[in-house]
Amino acid sequence: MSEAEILQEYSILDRAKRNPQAFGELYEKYFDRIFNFVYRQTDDEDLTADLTSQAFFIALKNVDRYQFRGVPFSAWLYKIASNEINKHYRKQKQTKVFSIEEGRIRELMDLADEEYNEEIIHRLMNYLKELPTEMLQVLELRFFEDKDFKEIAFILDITESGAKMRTYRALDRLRKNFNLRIKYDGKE
Amino acid sequence: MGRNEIRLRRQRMSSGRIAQHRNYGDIMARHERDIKLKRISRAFIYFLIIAALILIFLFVRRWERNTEPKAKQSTALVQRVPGTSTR
Repeated sequence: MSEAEILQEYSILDRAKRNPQAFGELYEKYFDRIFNFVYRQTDDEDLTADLTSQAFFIALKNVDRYQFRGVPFSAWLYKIASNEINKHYRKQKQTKVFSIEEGRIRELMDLADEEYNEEIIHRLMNYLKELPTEMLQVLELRFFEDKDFKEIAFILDITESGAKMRTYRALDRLRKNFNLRIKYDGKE
Repeated sequence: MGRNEIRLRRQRMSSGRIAQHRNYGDIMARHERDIKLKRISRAFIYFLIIAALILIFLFVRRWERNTEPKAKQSTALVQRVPGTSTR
């Protein structure tokens, strides 16, 4: 995100503090992204709609308390959405669901120059099942939402080095189990 | 069963379908209701504080009134005791 974009968002936020209608611009801009992020962790369309709406409502309610902390505004929205998801699972006492798009896995496999087939997908699913939730969250933000470590750290309320460590450990296991060459930044 | 349930989605949700859930008007309405509720609860809290202060004030005044005559009586007694041999 460029500095000009961050400044533009900041001016919208400034207006939203005085006039909540102005927040609508940010709602329109980020709704799809937050919806997809929540949907990936619920796999339930109606529940996703509720949690996304709740996340935006909380953001609007607290917009006057928002402070720039070196990460884009969207990271704050992701953080609120993530908290809402966690709250939902705590309340329902259910096993956490991660629903991942086949298309994105195919893209990642292509980037890693790996052959994509049903067998490897099946093994990958079984591997991901055994990963701790914290690692899955980091992997999701890194490879499905394309967030940098600073943002991941802010969203999950951990340190930047903690985010890096979790990603590194998860990828290390992935490399050992699958002989995959997915790199730290997912680009190669 | 593993720690988490992992599901594979064959298709991405279309933006048209996501757009069906987009409703900023609803968020605004909730926000306005929330502001109204906050104002009402704030007014109620102020009312409770003022009522509590009035009650404390009334209680203190009443307590002062009750203690005042006793104090006068006791001073009167003190005056009489040493003054028995005034003649």
